[in-house]
Amino acid sequence: MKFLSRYQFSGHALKRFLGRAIVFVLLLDVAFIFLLPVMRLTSTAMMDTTDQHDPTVVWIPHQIAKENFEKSFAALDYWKALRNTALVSLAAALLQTLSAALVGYGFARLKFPGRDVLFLFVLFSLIVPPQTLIIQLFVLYGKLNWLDSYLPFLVPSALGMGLRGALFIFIFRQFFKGLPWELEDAAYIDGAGPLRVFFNIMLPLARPGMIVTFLFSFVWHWNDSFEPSIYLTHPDTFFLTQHLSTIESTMRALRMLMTGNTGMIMAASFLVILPMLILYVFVQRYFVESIERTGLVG
Amino acid sequence: MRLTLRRRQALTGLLFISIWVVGIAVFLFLPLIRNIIWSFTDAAMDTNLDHPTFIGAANYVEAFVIDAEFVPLLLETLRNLFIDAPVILIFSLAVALLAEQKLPGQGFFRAVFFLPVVIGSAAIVGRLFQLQGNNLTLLQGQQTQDFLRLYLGENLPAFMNFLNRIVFVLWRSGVQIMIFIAGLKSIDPALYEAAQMDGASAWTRFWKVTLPMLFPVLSINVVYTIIDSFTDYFNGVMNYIRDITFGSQLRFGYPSALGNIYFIVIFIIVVVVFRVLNSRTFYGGER
Repeated sequence: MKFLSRYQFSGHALKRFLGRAIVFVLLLDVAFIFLLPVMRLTSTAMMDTTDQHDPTVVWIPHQIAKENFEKSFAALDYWKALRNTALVSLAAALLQTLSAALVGYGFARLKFPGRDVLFLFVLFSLIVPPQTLIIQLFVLYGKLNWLDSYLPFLVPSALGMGLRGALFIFIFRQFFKGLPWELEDAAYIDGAGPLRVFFNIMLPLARPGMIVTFLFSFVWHWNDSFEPSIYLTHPDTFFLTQHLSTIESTMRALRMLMTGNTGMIMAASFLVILPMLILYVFVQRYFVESIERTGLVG
Repeated sequence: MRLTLRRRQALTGLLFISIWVVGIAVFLFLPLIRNIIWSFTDAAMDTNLDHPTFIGAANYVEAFVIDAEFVPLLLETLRNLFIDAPVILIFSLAVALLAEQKLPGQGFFRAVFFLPVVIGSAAIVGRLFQLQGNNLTLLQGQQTQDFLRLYLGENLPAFMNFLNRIVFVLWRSGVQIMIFIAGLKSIDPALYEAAQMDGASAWTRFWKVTLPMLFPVLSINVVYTIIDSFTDYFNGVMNYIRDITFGSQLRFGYPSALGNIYFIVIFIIVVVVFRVLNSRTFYGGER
């Protein structure tokens, strides 16, 4: 009997172990799928034309093709474009975080007539596609003399709109709705005004929401190529993604003349995402933790 | 004048959202209304933009009757949506469930799954796919392909294409995976314990506890996926509208009409989907 029960126990443990092993292998597979494009990108970026077309070269090139990086560094106008991209993404992300927090708090915690109807407009603005608005915005910014400046990215962000601004308002509303009332009540009794309550008490509590919003906003601005390609025409004001598009179309035009050297466009793509990759290594932990804590889900 | 508490709160509330009221009026409703007006005119780069000529519904007629490109592009977008969205949702739920298991390397896996969100520039991943062609498949090496050719014969390119598409679709599920993980975290563990006490297997627990509790998150994800695929970098309609506006034709009235049609299609789909999902949603925290 004793033997039997032990046998059963170990059978159970074995099953458990096998189950976990299968899950682990599945996770590894999925992780591989996610990493594959990045690895392919990095590896191709380092190959010269010969290596790219050599079937014996799969991942590791015979020698690192430095000229891919040198050429794309110049074609991207790297330092200038990097500075433009970084500064505008940073400013827009900060403005969006702050404005979305204010508006989200207003919708979550303060009662005013028409609040629920107005909130429907937030959701409404989420589903209006940018291509429906882009012509009129282009005309509007033209009249305001904002074209070729960064104001089309900054002003809407400061007013709670901008790139997926409605989503951020939604996130903050959900987050503030989940917080207990006691802290605010205590502060009001002590005589603090609503702005003071917001900045001194609620905003510090909203750190997870702020981190998520800031990072999303930053990343989406960094990667966006649709709006910049329309509002910015002067190469000095270009973002990295715009130079990348230019390189791509130039290469496509030249393709008939030369052999398809994809190494350079890969090197350029690599240079565009490199700052994001480096940033991600450092902020990854906060990113994951904050998303779990935003109560996005309510 | 002394205000009642309720009045004062209403004023403060309006103060907090006032910036957004200005924002949505100037950057959403003003363009939207002007867009509707322009869609009935012949506005173009070389016409008087302040007073474009009214031409009735001609633009809408052109979109459906004359234009040979728009309707196929719209249908293609819809087809892609109906094929990709279920795959993205099922896959992201599966990955979120897997990532929730306590296993060695959990942190690493999560970091990898969120990677598409961070460098999620579809623009960049897409370039990879366009330029590399069959180079970027799950199956590397000539031997594997030769081996498969034995079985698939003529169908090999289609199969490779399918594999390519999987990688691409999976790369678009980063945000959804994240939202599902957040949703899984918010399920009360007591529910699982109670189910386990009553003898529910892991399979039953998934269908009777996890899935119903995830329904609110699921509807967020469905709507996000729809919007995302409609505004995707590779979306044919989006590029077509941009091209006739700023590229080849410099017309404004006609693309305004296209934009409106497109928006109405999205609006109807989102509302229908949301209604269907909401009627089945169980809200755990509702009082």
